[in-house]
Amino acid sequence: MTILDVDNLNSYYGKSHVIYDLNINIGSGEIVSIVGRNGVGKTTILKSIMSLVEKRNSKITFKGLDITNFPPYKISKIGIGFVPDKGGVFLDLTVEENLRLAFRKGGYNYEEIIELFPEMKPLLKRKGGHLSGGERRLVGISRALLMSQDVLLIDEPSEGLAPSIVKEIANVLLELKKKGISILFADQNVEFILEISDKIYIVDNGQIKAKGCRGDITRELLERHISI
Amino acid sequence: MEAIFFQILVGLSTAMLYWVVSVGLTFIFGVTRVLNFAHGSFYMLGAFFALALFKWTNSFVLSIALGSLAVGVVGLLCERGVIRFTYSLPVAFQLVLTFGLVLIFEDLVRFIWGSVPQMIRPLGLGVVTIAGRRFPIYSFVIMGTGLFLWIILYFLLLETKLGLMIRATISDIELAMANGINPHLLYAFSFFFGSFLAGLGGALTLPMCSASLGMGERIIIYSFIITVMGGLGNIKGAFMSSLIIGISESLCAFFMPSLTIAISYVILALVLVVKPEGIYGEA
Repeated sequence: MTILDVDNLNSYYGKSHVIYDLNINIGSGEIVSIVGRNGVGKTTILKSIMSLVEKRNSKITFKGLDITNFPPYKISKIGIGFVPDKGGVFLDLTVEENLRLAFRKGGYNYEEIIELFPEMKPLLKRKGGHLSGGERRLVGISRALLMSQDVLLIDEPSEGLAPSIVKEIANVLLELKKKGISILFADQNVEFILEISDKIYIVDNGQIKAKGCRGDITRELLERHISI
Repeated sequence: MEAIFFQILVGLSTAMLYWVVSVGLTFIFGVTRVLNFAHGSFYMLGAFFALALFKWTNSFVLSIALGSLAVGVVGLLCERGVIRFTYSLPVAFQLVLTFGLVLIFEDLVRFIWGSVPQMIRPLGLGVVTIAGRRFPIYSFVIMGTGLFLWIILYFLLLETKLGLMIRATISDIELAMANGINPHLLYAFSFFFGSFLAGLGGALTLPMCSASLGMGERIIIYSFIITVMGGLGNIKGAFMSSLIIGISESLCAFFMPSLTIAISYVILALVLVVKPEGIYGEA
């Protein structure tokens, strides 16, 4: 069953048209990836869904509800979470405050998060701006878990992380999938993409160049669209 | 030495009044990034509202409270009515718009209260003798109000969910919205609260000086000096700058009276040369 349907997405930065007639649909409990080089529009697609970038003549439906013109905070409240690149952490707040701000009833609780990522415990009093890239990513994912969303949009979840942490994040995302949470993420890490994606969209110049299930998209095709 | 102590005490009182008003401007800028020229007008409105309410209720405390709240509501109406449409526009539009509000409020006050300055002597708290000189007890009320405001603001920002949301919005508005925070509610609140503080400052001055047209012009200049000097939008910076400006001005009035007006500008210039981002940097 489709939970999030992006129909004919056209995004703009001022007068610049950057995403063209793009269609993406995500099923319930499905992990979908958007793949492409830097600058092809992956982040813009995620931000457009969140209404953080202007879109025209587009339609976005969440659980059958037309959310095209919803403001970002309303989209978050109805169940779509966004983890931006570089971790999605408030740099001026402590880790504890970052987590406290994200807490919603029905999501993971504080103890479960610490159990899942014990390495976060000594960081609780540290400000977001003083964390390493990997630590920020963990806090960003934790925030998303606390927020109890049906769909998570995650920008570059594996970027700049050590392979062991990438593996850990892959496990967390697969765990979320088991709980019925749908995930749409943008990334360039082929191993990571092939390990967890149910469906893959390859994007270039703001358009979809190829799409298919994990078995349909070959490693060579992915690498061709990621390498410069 | 006693004279210097006395001047510092006078300076502290002035500093706390500057702090009450300028922290409102700082708070509004910190949350909304709007440099509100009309802040001085809200200060003036606070004095006139308190004046009118005092004549009606004969209670100075009540007139300060209700007058400040009324100014807060005026600030809120301005934000919802016009200022919110300029958030996505270049800063020049906000400056022109808020300057337009200054002109409107000046004319409204002239129309309602006339152009003759008005004063009341509502408290009769008297004076105490410090270092052989007479010091108004009311100045201690202003100092107490300033310190109380400092505590309230720190509690609000550090201990409440609302404060956490405000700090998150200041830190990263895009992420805050993606976190379910409605920035428009926070913008409206910041204008209400910031204008309330300007009104409170205006009402507090009433026993010491008259409510008059143009009284907001001097205070808005000082508020901008303090806001820029402390670091735009930085509340701790506004507090420190208020102390520096208030006490320096008072000491200068004693040692070099002819430089009293210039001293604030000189200090601002020196700070900006050494630290262009202000004492504590932009929030």
